[in-house]
Amino acid sequence: MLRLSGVRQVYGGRVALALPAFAAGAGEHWLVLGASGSGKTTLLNLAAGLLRPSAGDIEVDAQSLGALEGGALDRWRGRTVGIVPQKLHLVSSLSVLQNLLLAPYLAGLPADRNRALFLLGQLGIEEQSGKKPNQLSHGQAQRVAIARAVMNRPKLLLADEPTANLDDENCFSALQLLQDQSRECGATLIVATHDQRAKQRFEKRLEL
Amino acid sequence: MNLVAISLAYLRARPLATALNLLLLALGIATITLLLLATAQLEERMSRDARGIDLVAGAKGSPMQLVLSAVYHLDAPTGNIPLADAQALSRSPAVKKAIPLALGDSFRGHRIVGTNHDYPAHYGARLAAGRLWRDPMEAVLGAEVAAATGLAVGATFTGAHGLSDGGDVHEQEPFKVVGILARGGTVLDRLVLTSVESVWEIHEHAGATERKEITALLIQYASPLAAATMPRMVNASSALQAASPAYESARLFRMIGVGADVLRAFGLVLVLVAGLSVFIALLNALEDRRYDLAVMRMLGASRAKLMGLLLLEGAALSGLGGIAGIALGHLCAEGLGAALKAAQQTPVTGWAWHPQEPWLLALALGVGVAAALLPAWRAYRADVAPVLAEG
Repeated sequence: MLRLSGVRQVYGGRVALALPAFAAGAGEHWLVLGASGSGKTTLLNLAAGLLRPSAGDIEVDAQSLGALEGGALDRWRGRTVGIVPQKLHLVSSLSVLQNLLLAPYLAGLPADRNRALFLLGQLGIEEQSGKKPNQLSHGQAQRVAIARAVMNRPKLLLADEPTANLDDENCFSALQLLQDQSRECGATLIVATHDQRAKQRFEKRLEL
Repeated sequence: MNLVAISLAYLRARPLATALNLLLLALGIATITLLLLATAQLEERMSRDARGIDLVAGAKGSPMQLVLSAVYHLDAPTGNIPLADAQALSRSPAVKKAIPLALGDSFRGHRIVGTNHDYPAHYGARLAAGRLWRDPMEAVLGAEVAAATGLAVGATFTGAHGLSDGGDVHEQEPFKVVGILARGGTVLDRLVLTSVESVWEIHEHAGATERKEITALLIQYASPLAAATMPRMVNASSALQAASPAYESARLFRMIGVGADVLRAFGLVLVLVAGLSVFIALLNALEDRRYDLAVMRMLGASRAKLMGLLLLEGAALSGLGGIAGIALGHLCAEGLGAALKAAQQTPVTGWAWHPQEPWLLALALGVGVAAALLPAWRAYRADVAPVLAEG
């Protein structure tokens, strides 16, 4: 599903990530562990095609990312990869529901309002659908970001530090949601974190 | 969810900046619209009033004053000319039509014009009520005069000496209204027409002149060749001068034109300032929206789509401002028309389009899109990954 071979990422003369080989199978749940600055976010950005590797090759679902250019890469990302960024980054001038509908629209897919409402219901935030992101609690906003990431049924779901600033209870429920949602889509899940609490929920781990 | 909806959502999210930009653009476009409407309608109106009149012969003085007084009935006449001279001129083979005008009196600020039936016929005037004058002291009212004074066919009134209100009233010589003209959008609307004899009668009784005089003669040439000889012939006569309405009104518009140009430049400056304001607003907004734009890229939007989003926002803002400005311009034109009507001047209306208005909208859109270009380019160039990592 996700395969990195001989990947090196040099940033500002410094090696941000060097990963000779890594492969995650379809539907697998991986935890990428490492201290800050160890290249976790870089790995996620490479897998999402948001960064080009300095060397090496990345394949997602048998698609070599080096072969995709410009708009085609953006389009591919929108349809194949779901991303929950660390700083959620919901669009503040749009409502929660509009934030979800943004995902299919920008990926060039038909607007699936029913799926958006279904996801909000599943994550227990359907009452918030008309609110603006700044009216939400952090936990609610994170659920919206997760729902947005799985709107287009991605094959690869990436989450960057999803448990930061969460207490134990919310930490585990956030991880649970990610695992449930990726199982639902049949997506490969990759969670990057420095949070040692996450270890107990994942069998497959990559330490950077 | 589409780009238009997203653009509008962003505009709504900053109501103050959006309102300010709309206002600036609307004011600039409204100024230009008003100018276009007012000058075009005035020119149209003035050329309609002067249509078919090739030359005005009257007493010596300022040729522009002669045209303004005899054709547009705006200024005081230059004086009177002997009837014999006028008749000699009328009989010239170069003259196809010669309409005599005898001015001097008014009725509540409306000029009483002694003339013959050729004058209303020249403007294709139709009667709304009654008939044209036959005997002395019978008068026909223009549509605006009738509306303003409320006089109907059969009513009588007395004229006052002079062209403005408050002259000596000719009490002994009442006029009788025998007809009212239909509104024709010409100078006739604000005149009182009667026979030349009526004007003479009043002034004979008032002890004025023994020699018969008229004020001016409106001349239509028999052939274009007359334009070369006729003015010289008239000017050669000691008491007469000739003035060309086309030339004098062109001269007048050149003088007014300087003012109109200044106002137009002012409107253009307003539009450009609005463009600058849209530019700054979009650039500032871009700073707040780096994350949103990065997230959109993350969700699959191409660079081109983000660029399109910002251009669309500039276009939406300026399009709305342009439409509001044109509407405001028409409203102001209508207001100006109402004010001019009260002053019995040539009216202006907001209920008419100017063929250049689509270009005004294009100007507004162009300014908005141009203002959005640099922000759009910056959005196009932005790198996503580092932006997503901060926050």
